[in-house]
Amino acid sequence: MSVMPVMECTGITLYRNGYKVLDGVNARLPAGDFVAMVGPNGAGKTTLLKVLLGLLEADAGEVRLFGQPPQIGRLRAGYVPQSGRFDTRFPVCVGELVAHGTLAGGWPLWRRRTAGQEAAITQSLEACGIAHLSKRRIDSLSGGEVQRALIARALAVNPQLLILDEPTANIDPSGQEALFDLLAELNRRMTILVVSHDLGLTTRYARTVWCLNRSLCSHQTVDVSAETLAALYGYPVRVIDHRPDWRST
Amino acid sequence: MSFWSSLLTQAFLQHALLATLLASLSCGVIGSFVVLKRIAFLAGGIAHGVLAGMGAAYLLGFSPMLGAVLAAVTMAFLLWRLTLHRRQNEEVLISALWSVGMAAGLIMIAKAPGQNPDLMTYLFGNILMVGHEQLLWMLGLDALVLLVVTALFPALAAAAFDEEFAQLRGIPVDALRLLLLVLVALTVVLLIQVAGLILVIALLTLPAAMAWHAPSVGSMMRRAVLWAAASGTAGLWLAYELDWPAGATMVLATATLFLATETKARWQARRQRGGDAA
Repeated sequence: MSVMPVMECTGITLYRNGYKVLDGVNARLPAGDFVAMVGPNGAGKTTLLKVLLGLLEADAGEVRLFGQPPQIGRLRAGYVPQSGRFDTRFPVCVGELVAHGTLAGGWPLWRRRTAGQEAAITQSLEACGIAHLSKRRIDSLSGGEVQRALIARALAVNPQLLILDEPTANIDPSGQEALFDLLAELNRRMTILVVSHDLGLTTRYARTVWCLNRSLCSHQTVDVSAETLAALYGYPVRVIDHRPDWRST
Repeated sequence: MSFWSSLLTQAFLQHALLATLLASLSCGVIGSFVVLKRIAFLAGGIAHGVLAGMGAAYLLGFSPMLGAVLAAVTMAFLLWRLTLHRRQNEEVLISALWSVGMAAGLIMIAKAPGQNPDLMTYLFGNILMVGHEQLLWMLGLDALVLLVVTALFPALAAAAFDEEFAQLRGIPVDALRLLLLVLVALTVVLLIQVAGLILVIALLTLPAAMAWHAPSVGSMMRRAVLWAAASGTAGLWLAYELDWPAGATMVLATATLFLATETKARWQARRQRGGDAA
């Protein structure tokens, strides 16, 4: 008997306008894992995340989040969507944005914020190192700061699983590394699933790599080879192993 | 006699000012959602479709206000249902309901028994004719809108920013969307008293747009209410002094203030950038 995985999906198939976007995706996410999902543009990465969270209905297949249907299990998951799709002129400050994570579902919706919720907001801001920005409007932040605010919002949920969709897309290289350091830190207390284009960072930080191109292959990070990547992307990809020694020990 | 001294003695002017201020409340609160969620076109569709309800009220002989409320809420429900799965082309659907509503209204008004002197009032509003009954309607609609928004504010604000995330938190976002459209519909009916259904959209969007730089959604709403009240009162005053149509003058006053605040904001932003560069 194995321990119940955080997430398990079998045979996920999804069509969009007659095209097969996801083709029989099987995946299993054990508790405590750090998984990076890679794949070319249009591989269905965001779509798969949305199916896993029950935001999109697959045409076939089944998802279990914490052993439950995604609509129930997702209350224990924190989601960090792509930051590019937000209206940055929206009048909201960082503290208020993070407070959205403490909203609990169900009725009534007019309950006052509790002390526990306030504490969750403060802790999430501190965990992401942005407590000093809590009164700032989001349109005055840098790309990296917005990303940290969105992560803090997901942490305010008090999640056991953190799902991030291309969190490094609008960040400079040193910021990207700092962000992955934060994820590694968070991985001590929660499972992490992150979509990333950056194969270098991915192979350094993640324990497992999911290669998605309509269908999914899972690899341990030590196994990701030039052949695997070439098969995924359809052309040769050079692998630069810049893993520092302290990580390989 | 000047506007301000007439205000002390003339009941019709007092009613007009009261109606302006009552309209400002919902206008600022719901207008902020309309601007933030970018549903101005949808609000315009609801406003124009309301003519069908007024036409039906004329034809069947019941209160045009009741007809307007029923038509607006029906329009809101239809638009919600049709755009629920976001697969259909929203613009086309809104355009269709917009014009079909107006066409049906025009036909029913034409076929209604007797003369119909009120068509221009519905289309362009006549705030100087607002009576006790309409003021009570406005007060009731205001109370309803403010009560609902206050009660559900955290969920409404979160869903306005990121509907998907709110849904993940277990918030019934589809139901909230319907609720918001109904509130927009009620606000439109309220504003029709002031400016008529053609000019409504300016009052629903411009005061909120003036308040866009506020630090939070709540303060955006409060500022939008103040802007709506200020520009509405200024418009009423100008209309009285110049003997211009009140609704149209209010819209022009609001647009002028919008232009002024926008120019000021841009000028400040440019000066700030210049200061940073130096």
